[in-house]
Amino acid sequence: MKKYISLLLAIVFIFALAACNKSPSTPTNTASPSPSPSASQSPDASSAPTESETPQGEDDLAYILGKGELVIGYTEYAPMNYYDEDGELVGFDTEYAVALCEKLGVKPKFVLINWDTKEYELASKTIDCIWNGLTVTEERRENMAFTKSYIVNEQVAVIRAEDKDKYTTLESLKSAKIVAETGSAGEMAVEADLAGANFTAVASQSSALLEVKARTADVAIIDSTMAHSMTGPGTDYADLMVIENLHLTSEEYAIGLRLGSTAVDKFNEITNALLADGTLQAIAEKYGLADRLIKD
Amino acid sequence: MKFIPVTISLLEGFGVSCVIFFLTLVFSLPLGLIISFGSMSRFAPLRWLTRTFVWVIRGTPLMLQLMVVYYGPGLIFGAAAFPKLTAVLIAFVINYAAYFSEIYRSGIEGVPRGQYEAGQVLGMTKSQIFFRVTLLQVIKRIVPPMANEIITLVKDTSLARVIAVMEIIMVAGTFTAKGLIWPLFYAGLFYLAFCGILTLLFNYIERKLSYFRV
Amino acid sequence: MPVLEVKGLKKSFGPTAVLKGIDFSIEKGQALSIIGPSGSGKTTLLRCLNFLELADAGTISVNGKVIYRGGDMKKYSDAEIRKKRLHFGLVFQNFNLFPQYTALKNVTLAGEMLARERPDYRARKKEILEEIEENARALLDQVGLSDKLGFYPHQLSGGQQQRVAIARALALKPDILCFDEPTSALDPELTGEVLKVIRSLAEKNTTMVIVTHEMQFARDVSDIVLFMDGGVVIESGPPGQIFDNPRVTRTKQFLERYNGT
Repeated sequence: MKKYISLLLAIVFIFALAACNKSPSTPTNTASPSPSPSASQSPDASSAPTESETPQGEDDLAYILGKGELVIGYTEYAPMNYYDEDGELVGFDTEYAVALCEKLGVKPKFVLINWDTKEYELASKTIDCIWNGLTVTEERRENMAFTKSYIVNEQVAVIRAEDKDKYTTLESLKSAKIVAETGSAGEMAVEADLAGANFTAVASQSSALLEVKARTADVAIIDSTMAHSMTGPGTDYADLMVIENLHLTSEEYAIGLRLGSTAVDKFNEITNALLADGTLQAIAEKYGLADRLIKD
Repeated sequence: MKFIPVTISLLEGFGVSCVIFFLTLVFSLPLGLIISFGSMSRFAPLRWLTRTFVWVIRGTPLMLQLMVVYYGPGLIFGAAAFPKLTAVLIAFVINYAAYFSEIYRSGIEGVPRGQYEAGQVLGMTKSQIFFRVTLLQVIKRIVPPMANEIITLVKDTSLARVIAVMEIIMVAGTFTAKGLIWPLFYAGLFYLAFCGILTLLFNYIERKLSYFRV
Repeated sequence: MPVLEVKGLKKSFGPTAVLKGIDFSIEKGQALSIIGPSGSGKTTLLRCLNFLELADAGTISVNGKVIYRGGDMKKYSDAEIRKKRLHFGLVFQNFNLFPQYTALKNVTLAGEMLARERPDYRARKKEILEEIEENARALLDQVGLSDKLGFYPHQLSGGQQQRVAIARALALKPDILCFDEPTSALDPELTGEVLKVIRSLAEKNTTMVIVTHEMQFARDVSDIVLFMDGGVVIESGPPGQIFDNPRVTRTKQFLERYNGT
């Protein structure tokens, strides 16, 4: 009981500390080149964002190697991590992780997480990395270290099929009610490409789709992969469609490691090797992502 | 079309919900009684400590408590986390024991002083008074609020998904992510049926105890 | 030798002295009524006799033996206190019947519990329980409720409940039966049946201490009347003396106010 109270007090304390830490770091962020709303750009994949951060406490790579196991946090998200008809966990990220772990000499362990609390999972070491189509954003850099990006995460606009002729261009979307997952790449795309639009942030990508279907919104900006897998035939969203040839700001997927992790360089090194020997290309082709693989 | 596989998956998730439900009850019902004795203690520091504890537990969201139990050890001490289901049970048992303790307390304090005194002047021992005189009266008083709380627990089990425990709502959510909306509402039927059975059970108990009035 | 003798009994709640030294005694078979304004300490006195409160000073003797000495009680175990209590029975103002038991079970319950402590309980369990039940039936018949044995308290009127409570107190055969304003919680039309029962007990020479506001009843039924005020006994004596010829002005004033004269 006492322990519990002290735990609670401690976590309040941690939150307070986190709030304090945040303020000094903010100026550095604003000082660094931040994306201008019009420019469609993404962080340079090859630059190592963690160079400026010092490892906190222990050597994360040594910690992972010491355990002989890499605990990978994921959510069910086709085609990155999902269960096939035999109940096997498959997907691009799944196979990529298995391949990387083999080279690293550790066993992969996949753990289902709640996407909303992934930062806590990392920090409390219940997982070692987030490997689940994780979009690289500046906000997330405050809580985790990214490896080099490996997939372009294209954002698309989903509308009701009946509105096919109404919404065709970015300009036409500015009068629509737009939804996207809060803090997602979709929201970034709205900010970058549809500034001033009638926008509402919702809890998840699937609820964004639900909003459109339920007519509480007109347009959902979500991941291209998700949009195509959720709106196909046999789904409850068969009456929704993706606007073709509409180009929104795209982001990139990377693996999220603990802030200041020493494993970043090692992961990048192995990824480069997997690119060089064609392993990643083969996996990408298997899951229909070949054109989106970042090859350099 | 996908009705049968969805049903099977939801049943698996519902199994997890039921495990959380029953194990929480098994541990929190007796723990609540111990806490209620603490909050009625004549030893002031114990009473103060217990009531503060109850205040903290009832005054913060169960969702937050779940996160504290699961992430707390790693975030604060760098220690290993409890297995997920264990973390869920710790948080649920503590939370529900606090609520139950207040129900027990009101039930025990609601028995008129005269009942104890009547037992005393008739030469009964303390335990005879508790088991023969007051216990059934306490039970009769607490059945309606306990029924309420227990039915709330059924639905609260869905909070376990905060730390990604695959209970039925989380399972239904995985279908939502695959483009199926209806499994989420279908999952609601499982809760409805379960709460319906519990309601019948509590009505039966209330009817069984209706032969006397307190 | 008096069956009950109380000497110098004192009780305070915090700074408030409720009993300031009470003396009285009662012979076997006598009925003693205690009258006086509210807050005079009557109920506290009864509660001290039944050890629901522990007196700070003074003695309580039963049949010539001191069973309680003020300030001593904390040395006694719960079991000893229980034993001492059995000299007394108490009928409460609010009856305090056990709501989950029938009239019959209310009367037998305590006897059944006590019987377990008898050395021959195991061997003669059935007979003992039968005796207890026979006794309870007889007592309920005596208070005029032989047709209500299986009724639960909420199915009985206030007067009937109080009569069950009297039977319950009698079941343990106490040396002294105490009544704490037994008719105060009853509708006026129900007091008669309860008073009738107490009267019949007096006729059978049951030793009783009765706290009451029913002056006519106290006069009819009592051998001795005690007038209390401010935590002391102002005057005591046979009812004829107290009611018709009080020697103390305060007694006179109290009775005048009561009789509305």
